[in-house]
Amino acid sequence: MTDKPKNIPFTPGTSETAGLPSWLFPAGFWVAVVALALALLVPRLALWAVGWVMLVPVLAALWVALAALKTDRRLSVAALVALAGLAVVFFVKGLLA
Amino acid sequence: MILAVLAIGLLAGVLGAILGLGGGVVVVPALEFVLPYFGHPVTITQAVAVSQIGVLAVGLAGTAGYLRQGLIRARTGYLLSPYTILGGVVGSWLGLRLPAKVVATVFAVLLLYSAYNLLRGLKRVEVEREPSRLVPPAMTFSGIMSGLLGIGGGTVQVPVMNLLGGIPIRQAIATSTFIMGLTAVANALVYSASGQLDYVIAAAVALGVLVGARSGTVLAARISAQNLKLFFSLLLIFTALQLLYKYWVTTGAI
Repeated sequence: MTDKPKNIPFTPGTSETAGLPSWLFPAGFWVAVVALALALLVPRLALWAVGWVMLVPVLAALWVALAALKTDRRLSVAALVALAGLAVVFFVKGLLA
Repeated sequence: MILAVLAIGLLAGVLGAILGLGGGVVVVPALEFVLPYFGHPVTITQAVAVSQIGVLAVGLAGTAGYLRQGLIRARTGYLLSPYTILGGVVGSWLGLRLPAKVVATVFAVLLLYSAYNLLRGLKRVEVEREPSRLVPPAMTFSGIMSGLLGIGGGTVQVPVMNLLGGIPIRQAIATSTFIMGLTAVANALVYSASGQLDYVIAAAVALGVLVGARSGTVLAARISAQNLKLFFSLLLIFTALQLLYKYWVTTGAI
């Protein structure tokens, strides 16, 4: 790790494939399948079903940011940076649209 | 109509799983050409908005699979995602403001480029290398394309991560799929705030993509990818020409 250039923020580390909860995306996938199928039968649920699909990557980033806070600070900060980007978009989306 | 939209999503999911190219390049033109037959014409902006949810579904299904294989570089993905999110927001903003003719033309160029890449095969590097300083601007550009055109960005992102980022190709594909979810969330937020996102159509596309991506991995073993590549390349060229015809030749389409 120490021989990697420090000025390039995305320099890969050896343990970086770890960190994401392995169950979250498969669980999110199946909940999404059920929610979206229900939305086709009851169209007023479509907003919630689509909302769930949008929520899964956000939940994963939040999980990683909190879970890796003590064990892998760089991963945690990286997830927080991504979340901060989404938070900014969420609050200024009205101005952009 | 919903069944037709579901079928479009299925096709996008299956092709995405087999060829690594589905999502927006299928969903956007298909919605534009198919929905008018059901008395529900959509603008290219509305099709791009729906496609953002299709891209999210591709990201969700793909990430679930790649996580099992340990191919996703989470830290790299999270550190690069602010660039793609920024680019995505700029692209979405442009998508809401540029004339449909301009968006359709850029889309047609992307389709032709994708067809060329499918036929020629992407240049790829398998050995880990030091990343180039051009990665952040290149990832921002891929975000712009994703926001503007409703594509996952893999067409641009994977070569950038592989050739400029020095990430081996399989990890580049997996990490790109992971990043596209986060980027598409930002893009979808902008399009939904503009009122261009039809949630019912988006739900049908997303469901089709999720099921298609799952089935595609099974079908991949039975279908000749070479023949499919040729067929899909021709389809992309045909679609690009049809888009150009619609927006440049047909009067009153803009």
